[in-house]
Amino acid sequence: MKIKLNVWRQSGPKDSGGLKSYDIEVTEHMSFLEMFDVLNEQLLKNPSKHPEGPVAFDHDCREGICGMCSMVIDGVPHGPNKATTTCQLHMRSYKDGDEITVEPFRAKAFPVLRDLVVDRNSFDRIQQAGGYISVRTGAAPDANAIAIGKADADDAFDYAACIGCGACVAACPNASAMLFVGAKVSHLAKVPQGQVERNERVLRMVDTMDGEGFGGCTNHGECEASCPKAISLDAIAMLNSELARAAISSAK
Amino acid sequence: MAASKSSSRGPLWSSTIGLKVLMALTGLAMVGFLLGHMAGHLQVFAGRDAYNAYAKFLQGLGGLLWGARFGLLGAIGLHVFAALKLNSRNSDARPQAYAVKTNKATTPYAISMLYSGYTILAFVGYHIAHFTIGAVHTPIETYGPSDDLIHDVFTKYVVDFQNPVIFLLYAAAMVGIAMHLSHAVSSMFRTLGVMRGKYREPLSKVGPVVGYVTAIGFLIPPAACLLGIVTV
Repeated sequence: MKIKLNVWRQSGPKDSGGLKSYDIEVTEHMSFLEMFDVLNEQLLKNPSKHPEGPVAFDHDCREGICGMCSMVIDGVPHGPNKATTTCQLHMRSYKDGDEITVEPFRAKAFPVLRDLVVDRNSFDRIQQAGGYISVRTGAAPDANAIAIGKADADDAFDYAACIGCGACVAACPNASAMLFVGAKVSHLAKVPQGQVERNERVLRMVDTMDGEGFGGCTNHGECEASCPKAISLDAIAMLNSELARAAISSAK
Repeated sequence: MAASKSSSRGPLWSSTIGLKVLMALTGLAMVGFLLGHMAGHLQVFAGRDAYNAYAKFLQGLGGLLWGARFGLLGAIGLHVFAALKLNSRNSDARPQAYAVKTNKATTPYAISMLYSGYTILAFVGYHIAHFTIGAVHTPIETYGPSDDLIHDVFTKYVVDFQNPVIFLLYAAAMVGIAMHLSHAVSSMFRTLGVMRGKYREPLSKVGPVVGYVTAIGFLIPPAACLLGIVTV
């Protein structure tokens, strides 16, 4: 099948960049990233015709769990399918003759490095600010030595499914990171291991989130709809309630 | 700590979440007022004396009335202040727009919040000039014994809403109210942290219900005046 790709090309952080069109022949079995592999081979084979070189894009595991692949595909991070990463999006979701526009995640806190690659270190800095627990070193504790209620364990697991890809930020009209921060805070707030730093964690992570230049939540729900791990908006409600809890107990 | 470089270190109330909580609480106060205000004005159907007596009762509250007025104006001020501050942060957070952006979940209510908010703000100014101060349209006459004059708000209300232009201005503002509250009220529950789990579905319906009930409730008495169901 023939696809017309409009791809954001930007040679570096300071370049203004722009969309460039490519025609490409693909099969329905290819993943979206494999289409880019094919495109890049074509671009490399003919450097005189394509002086801009291959398209830089982030990818790693290609099995939907690492959170590296990004891309905003026709205006939706990770493309049109529900709860799917870009690498797990296959060309069978498209038909012959389709035109697809691919842009990088856009947010002040995610500066474009090159083409479709953005710098997502701001997420790492939020995580470092409080997304950890203190445990004693030594032998691994016995499994099930710490009892956790089924409902809490399920909730914590759902929030822990966040792969930190940043699609929530890319999808949000305000480039807000609250679904990500909400997932991290809620995950640890639901388990006993997370209780020691519970209040300090949410205060520091929200503080860092704001400092990185992410916007705020206005409850559009775009993040949840684009999240490849289907993290619920409940994470944001939980984050708000965790912050209120921390504010009240630190005021005491 | 690696994070200190990027920390905002502002007071908690000025964080993005803190400002949203401020908006939720001031919004809650305003919605509470609106519902009471709506119920009060349905008394136009009870006739001139009942309606004017209600107005007189409110006027007679004295200090309490002024407390409520300043409280509400303060709530509006804080709500608008927080909204503008958050809005500028939100625009700054995405300096470069997408060439193609497809929305999957948001609603027209959510997208137009700023504009429905401006509509309501402009209307509140006009509405205070109209009924509280009485600076525009029909002057408020008085009647009754000379030592206990009653402001005839009822006549002003009915006469003014018989004017289709005034009615349409009012109706446009009610569209703004319906749209704003449809998003705002449910949004408030999430901001206050209660809209999750089994409460998510029911609370997500509260916004549109409150929005439309308020707007329609406010539109019934003026529509009755316009249609000649309530007359002077």
